[in-house]
Amino acid sequence: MNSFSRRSVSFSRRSFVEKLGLGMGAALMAPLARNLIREAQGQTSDRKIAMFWFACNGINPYWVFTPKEFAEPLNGVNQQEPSDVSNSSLIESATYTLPEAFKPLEASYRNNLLMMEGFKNYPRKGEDVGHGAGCMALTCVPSTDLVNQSQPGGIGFDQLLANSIGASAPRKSVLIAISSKIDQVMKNHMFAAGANQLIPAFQSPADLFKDLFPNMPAPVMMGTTPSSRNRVIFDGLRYDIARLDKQFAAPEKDKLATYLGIVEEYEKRLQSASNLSCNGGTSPTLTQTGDPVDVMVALNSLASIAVVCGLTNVMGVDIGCRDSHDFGPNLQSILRASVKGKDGTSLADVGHQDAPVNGPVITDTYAWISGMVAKTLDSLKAIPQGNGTVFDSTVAMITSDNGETHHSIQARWPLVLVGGKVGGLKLDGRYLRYPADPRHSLADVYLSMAQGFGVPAGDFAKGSDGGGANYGNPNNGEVGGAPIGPLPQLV
Amino acid sequence: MRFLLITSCLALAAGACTSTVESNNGRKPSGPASTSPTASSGMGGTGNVGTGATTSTGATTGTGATTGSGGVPPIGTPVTLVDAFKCDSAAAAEPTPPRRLWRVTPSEYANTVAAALNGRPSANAAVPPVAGFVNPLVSPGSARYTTESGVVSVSGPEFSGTFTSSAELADQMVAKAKNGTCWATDSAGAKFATCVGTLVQDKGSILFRRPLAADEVTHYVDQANQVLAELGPDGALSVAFQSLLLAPQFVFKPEIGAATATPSVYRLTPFEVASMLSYAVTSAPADADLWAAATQGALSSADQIKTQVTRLMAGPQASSARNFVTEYFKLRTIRGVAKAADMVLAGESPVCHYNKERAIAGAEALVGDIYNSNSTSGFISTLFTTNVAYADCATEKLWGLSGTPQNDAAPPTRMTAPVGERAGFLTNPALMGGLAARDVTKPIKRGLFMNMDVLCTALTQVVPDGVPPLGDISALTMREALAAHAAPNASCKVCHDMLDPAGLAFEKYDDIGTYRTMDKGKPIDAAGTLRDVGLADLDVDGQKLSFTDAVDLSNKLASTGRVEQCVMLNGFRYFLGRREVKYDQCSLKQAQDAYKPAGSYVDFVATLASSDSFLNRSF
Repeated sequence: MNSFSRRSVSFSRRSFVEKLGLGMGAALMAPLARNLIREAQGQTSDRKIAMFWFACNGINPYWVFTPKEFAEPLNGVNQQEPSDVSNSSLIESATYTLPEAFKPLEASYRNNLLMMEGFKNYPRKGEDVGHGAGCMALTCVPSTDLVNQSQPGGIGFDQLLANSIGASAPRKSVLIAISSKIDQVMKNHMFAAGANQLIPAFQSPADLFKDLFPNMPAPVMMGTTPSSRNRVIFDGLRYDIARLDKQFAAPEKDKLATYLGIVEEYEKRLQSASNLSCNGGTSPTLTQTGDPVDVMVALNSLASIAVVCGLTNVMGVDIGCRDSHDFGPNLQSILRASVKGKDGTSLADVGHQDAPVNGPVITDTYAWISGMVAKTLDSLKAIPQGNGTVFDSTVAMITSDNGETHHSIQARWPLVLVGGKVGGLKLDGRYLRYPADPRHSLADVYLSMAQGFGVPAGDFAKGSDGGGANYGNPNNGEVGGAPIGPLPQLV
Repeated sequence: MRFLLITSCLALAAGACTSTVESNNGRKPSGPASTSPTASSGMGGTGNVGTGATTSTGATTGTGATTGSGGVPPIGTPVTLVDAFKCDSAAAAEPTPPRRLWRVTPSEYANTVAAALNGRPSANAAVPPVAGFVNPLVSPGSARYTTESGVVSVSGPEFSGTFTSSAELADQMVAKAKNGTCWATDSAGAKFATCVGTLVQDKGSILFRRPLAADEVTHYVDQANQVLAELGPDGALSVAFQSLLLAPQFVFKPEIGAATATPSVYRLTPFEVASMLSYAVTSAPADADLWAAATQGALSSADQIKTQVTRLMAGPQASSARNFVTEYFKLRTIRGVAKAADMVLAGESPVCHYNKERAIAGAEALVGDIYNSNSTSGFISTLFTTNVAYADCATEKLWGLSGTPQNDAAPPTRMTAPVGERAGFLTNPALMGGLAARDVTKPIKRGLFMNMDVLCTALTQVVPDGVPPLGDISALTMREALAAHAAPNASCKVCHDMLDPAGLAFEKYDDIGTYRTMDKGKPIDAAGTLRDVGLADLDVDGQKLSFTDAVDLSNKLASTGRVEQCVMLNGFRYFLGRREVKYDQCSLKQAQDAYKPAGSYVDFVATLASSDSFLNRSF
């Protein structure tokens, strides 16, 4: 252990959740949460919460998504255009068997979810570049860097919401990711504040803890009177910035203005956190190099506590973006080690989904994710708000992050929404399969959610062409083609 | 893909430059710098994102190029390759670029806090890293080079990281101060403030890269005094240290300068020169010798500066000078490309199994080898011609070699590549793998790199429209697949005719850079002729350039003025952290003239570092 990881406590995969409180159940959580919610700055009015869980490309739920009552063979193969929406009209039913992949939601949330499929979500034709292509699932527009897919083409939907429902919280959003690639290139690919504006996700539980709970059990900067120490440091920083500012003209001055803004935002966050009794406990030493399942559970727990505590209203989880099914072997402890990919030899090929043999692996993956989602929702259900609980104004989304054709067959893109009836969102237990014509895209789901959350969609998903000549052309348009508009079945 | 094709460029260098390092030649200061990230700039050569107007016809615009550096804004009048090395009256009349405030790079940050913790490095010694330090800063994703940090400030997550780590570092600095400094005896009582002031000056001069002014020292001592009663002496000193570590005077590199005889033109101070030099060559703060030179005012003449640069480049600390080669040839780009070959399948041994890091390690070993042997002679040409290979048991097959120690702990072995199969870094497995996909070559990526970074053609990538997929290429060579792909549409041919020859030249190197002669059971045809805009042959030193394969191409390019200039332009961008503008033409000419006699990289950098572009600012 080095000096930058002073906390000596390390957590095993399962116990970490309990140590942080989420595993203790609603009864234990409720008194704490009630206290916290009052204390969180700016959180006195009703909150709206959005949470997004994405699994990596290739680990797509459509093999295991369709309820058996509506089963229909998937005909698509790699490298082809979407071809598997054969229904000419909407399929809609409240009576169906919840697939095994989402069973953890059955007991408490069977009547608070929507199983939806049939959407487009694919990049420009001819611009499939493998593992990197799909990290557009939140932006719904192609990367501005079509060679390396290194830059987002627009704002992500999570950040669109964060700019509104997250503005009053100490943190606009809490974004976490897990990846076996820990270098800078790989870790910053899912979340975007706008075109070319990637937002790094936290990959290390230790770092996330320090970021979320800087005033908690003394990660260093806290002396016996931490607020005094921080006040002196921040006042001094303002002096330093002002002193340097006099010697520069624009645009260099702007960098100092940005720095000052960041400093003061952080100061505000420290003050907010110091008012909270929402204590994450002892800082974990676990970093992104730990066991991937431990890391993911720990990250999810910390981010969920941030939501529960009122530190943020938007949470994003990305499991393996830009990493793809290469990540699979590292998750063998949750994916069934006995199940092999289509090549019959290893899990490495699970991501090339041209054979249903991978179904059990994908089922286990999404069941694991659904379990995490259910635990977080359980906690939110324990927090009173108005005549109900915070859960009533929460929506969580579960899907895969990717739409490129090398690892996906582009067939009737599926997702699960679960939560309360935010702004009239109709999360009531139905299964929906959208038809081939009109072919809706993932962007339409986001437009529906935006309406439910009362957030103007603006130019969201309009893409780098700004709705130009190519926009909406299914062969060469933006991701998934043009959004049509909110879905009446959802909002 | 659709690309923006702009004016073709000739590699010409002409004209005499009369500027000297001591004067600014009466140049005017520049006006307000452009803040538009989409403004035209520079050669338009190396960026990932083109931002200018587009043309689907490939017609030339004739007005220079858009920025190719992906978001680094220009600070003056754009210049084309035709003019970049001309020191003429027009260039001399250009306004001086403005003062800059550029953020330290991640490696500069790490090395500087290490020096603050452990002491200023002695002469010709590298800074030992701080154990366990996790760097909170990241390089701007929009920049071609990590040194192009002028475009960014500090992000929220970065500040969060620096805040936390600075607190820990400050505590460590306090602990270290208890041995061998005034803090061992004077941490309490009447001598408290004096000792804090001494330590603030000692650590602050490393972090700020200059002595602190008296009122600055007083400011940090005051901070310590404010919390002394509550936190005690150690806590109070820690507050002062943490404030230094978070100060913009450290996190940013201010280039302010001192007034000159020319109104509004400022010359960097000796300490600013020392900072620029040390970071440019070593990515670390000034060592003892350089600091002494700055203190003694011995960095005012070109010869004094060149002496220091030459000394720094000769030592083990010259990591940044070596890193230019690594970044220029994109030898770490492969990290961002998932590789099928990386996977250890069931039944395979993980021992000596290919992975990308091993390819990078071999490439970086070769960089060090060439740097050590050729930094003062034939430098650029060697980069394109060497047949030296650094291979280990995981990568020897890529090179067509054998006999390396069969264990993963062994470092790469210096070997000679098979005759006719490799020529310099263009054929290095790290670059070839980085410019490929998971399990297939990407000739367009390779063609783009050749055009933008090696040939400095005026080409900038833009968002394409309606590019059809290659389709089923299982029975086709890549050349056949691309021909079929581009043939039906004349507008496709405009770009493919320019990119394909340079890209297909490298088809003998597969997705991880293994040499091969056959593809899909057919002999690989890697021959071609470099093409320019409008289907014309590319002008390489006044003539067209045809080649039989990548080895032939690289060997021929190695001795051309065009490539030499293109490498130098990229060197300018790397060492100055910005794109070249018209003002820089004389500085570039000086550096080129210094390089030419022997092909000395050291002389090139030393002359660049003593040029007006390096030293003058306006305000």
